[in-house]
Amino acid sequence: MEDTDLKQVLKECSKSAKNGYKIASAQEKNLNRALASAQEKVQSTIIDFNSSPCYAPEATELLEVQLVEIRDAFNRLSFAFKEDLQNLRENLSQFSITLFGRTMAGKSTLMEILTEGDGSSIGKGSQRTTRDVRKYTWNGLEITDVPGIGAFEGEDDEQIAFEAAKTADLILFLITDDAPQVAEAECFSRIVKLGKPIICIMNVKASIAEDKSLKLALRDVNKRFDMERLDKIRNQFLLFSEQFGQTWSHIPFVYVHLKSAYAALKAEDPEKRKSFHEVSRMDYLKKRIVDQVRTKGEFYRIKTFIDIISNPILESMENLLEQSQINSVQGRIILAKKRQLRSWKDVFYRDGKAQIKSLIVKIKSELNGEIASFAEDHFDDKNADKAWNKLLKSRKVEIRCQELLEDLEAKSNDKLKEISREITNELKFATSFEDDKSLRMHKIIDGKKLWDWSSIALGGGLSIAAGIAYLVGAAAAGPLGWAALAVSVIGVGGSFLFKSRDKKEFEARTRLEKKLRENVSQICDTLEKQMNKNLDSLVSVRIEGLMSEMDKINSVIFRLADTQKELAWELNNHMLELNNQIMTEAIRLIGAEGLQHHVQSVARIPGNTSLILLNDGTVFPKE
Amino acid sequence: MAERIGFIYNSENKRVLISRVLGREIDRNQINIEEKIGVAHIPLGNATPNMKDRVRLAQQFSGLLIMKE
Repeated sequence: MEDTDLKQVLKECSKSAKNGYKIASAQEKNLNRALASAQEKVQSTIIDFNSSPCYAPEATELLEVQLVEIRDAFNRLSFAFKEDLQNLRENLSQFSITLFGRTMAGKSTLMEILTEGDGSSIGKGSQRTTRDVRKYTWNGLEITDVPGIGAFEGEDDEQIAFEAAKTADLILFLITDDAPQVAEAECFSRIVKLGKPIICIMNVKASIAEDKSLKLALRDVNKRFDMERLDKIRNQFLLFSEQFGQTWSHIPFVYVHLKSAYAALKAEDPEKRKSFHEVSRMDYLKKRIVDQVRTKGEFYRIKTFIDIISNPILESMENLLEQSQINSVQGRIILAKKRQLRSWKDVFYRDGKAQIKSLIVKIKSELNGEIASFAEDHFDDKNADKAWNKLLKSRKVEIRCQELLEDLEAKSNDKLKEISREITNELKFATSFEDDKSLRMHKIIDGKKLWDWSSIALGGGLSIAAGIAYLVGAAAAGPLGWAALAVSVIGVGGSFLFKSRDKKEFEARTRLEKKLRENVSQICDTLEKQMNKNLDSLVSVRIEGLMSEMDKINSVIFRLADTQKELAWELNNHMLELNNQIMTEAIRLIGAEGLQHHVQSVARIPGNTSLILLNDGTVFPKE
Repeated sequence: MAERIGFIYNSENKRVLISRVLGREIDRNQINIEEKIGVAHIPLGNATPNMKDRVRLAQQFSGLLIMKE
């Protein structure tokens, strides 16, 4: 490969990069507008939510926290687009290749070979060596060595490595001819997901014994280059793709022996140098890399810029759609439960009133039944009122009223708890999708936390049985005393008034009975009114209060679902524009300008598939 | 492009369009579209990675969230 050739190619690559940056930058502005609009809508939802009355502040605070998190997630996404694009922009002129692979796979050795270094960066044994990102130049290409993946407690290193990979135009992924590991396959799947072009390098691990002759050393290395064995290992690695729902069969593999290449570099003897170099197959790898740059470099540069935006848009769009769907489903569950609760409330209220009426009628009947004998016994009793109170207490009037009200309260509580449990279970069942990754949004309803607030609504506040005892006692005092008193005064007169005393006694008894009946009526009316009032409070504060809260929450959920859906489809539109632009560039680079006019739209999964939508009847040239 | 390239013909009918993207494995008549809520239900079963990719592509063209039945 001529140096001047590659220099010229890299110049063209640089131009392409500028073009890619221009395209991505324009879309970034559109995206920020879309995200800002979505943020405003969420903020407006938060304001409206806070301005309406609230019966269960702890639950609604939780909802507000989640809304704020969603609004902030949109902001973070907007910032991430900007940051990633700016990071790339700093690299406009350089074609960037990143070395990836688990620790001790040979990345640093490869680096030393390419840069003809002194070997200081190569690890000895199992310790991780590259702890940060290091950049070198080879053949005008920027090579980045990143920390190895899959190391023990190496999560921070992995994060550094992936951030570096995002800006790469080409990835060289190193594995060895040991049994492939799940951890490295998992990292490979993340690289594939980034949509980057990859060359997979299998570093054949064969040691070169110092005490052996060159011939024997070369024989040992060549033995390890059994193609059948290496292909088998490659296939084992490719099998992992199924676990991650990906296809890796199109990714090229190159087999090398990096130790030989390094030995060639260090050998003083020209024959040794030549032999080790040949057995390493390093030339094939270098040619492969240069060919990629020469034939596809310009396109890769544009792709790097466009995909830094396309990838997160696609992921965000898909996750927003799922979140929106989850929220809609949750909203419908709550709506259905609210309707169920309303129906139950109507029946409960009607039955409650009927039970109160029935109890009062019974009490009235019982008390009225006592009047005749009481009047007989107490018409001349100065303390008739106390005796009447004692009788009322013995009939447990207030206790029975309290018990009925408590029973109604308990029924209501049980129903609310049941509704709450049903909602929690149905919400959990509905939310079977995975959580969003890039936007890190939470589900709008955390079933467990939110629906615990039914206990808050039930726990404090209204004691509907209070005051009954006082009212019953107050209604029993007063007039009774007067009727009894009148009877006693009559009793003092004398025996010659005996016949008129009978009549007076009768009259006194009758008056007392009348007073008692009035008293019973008054007590029962007051009791009935008070019990109904308390039933009304129970229904309006607890049940209707809960229903009102459900309405409020539902309004938020549906508004949020709409916002998420609108944003998702707006992102999709921007992504389709980007897809069209990248396809247009690809068509231009293959020298087939004009073909893009046949393309109506392009759907794309970066690094995986591009699907071109043609107008009906269009014939797109096969070549 | 270092990606697979495919072509399909457009259709105004979303069911037809989705069916073209998903291919013959999915019976077009079993694609159920709820236009009002923007969802299409398809009999996916245990979808292969390839089918899942096609679903993602079909979503981009159709403007509908595609879900399992």
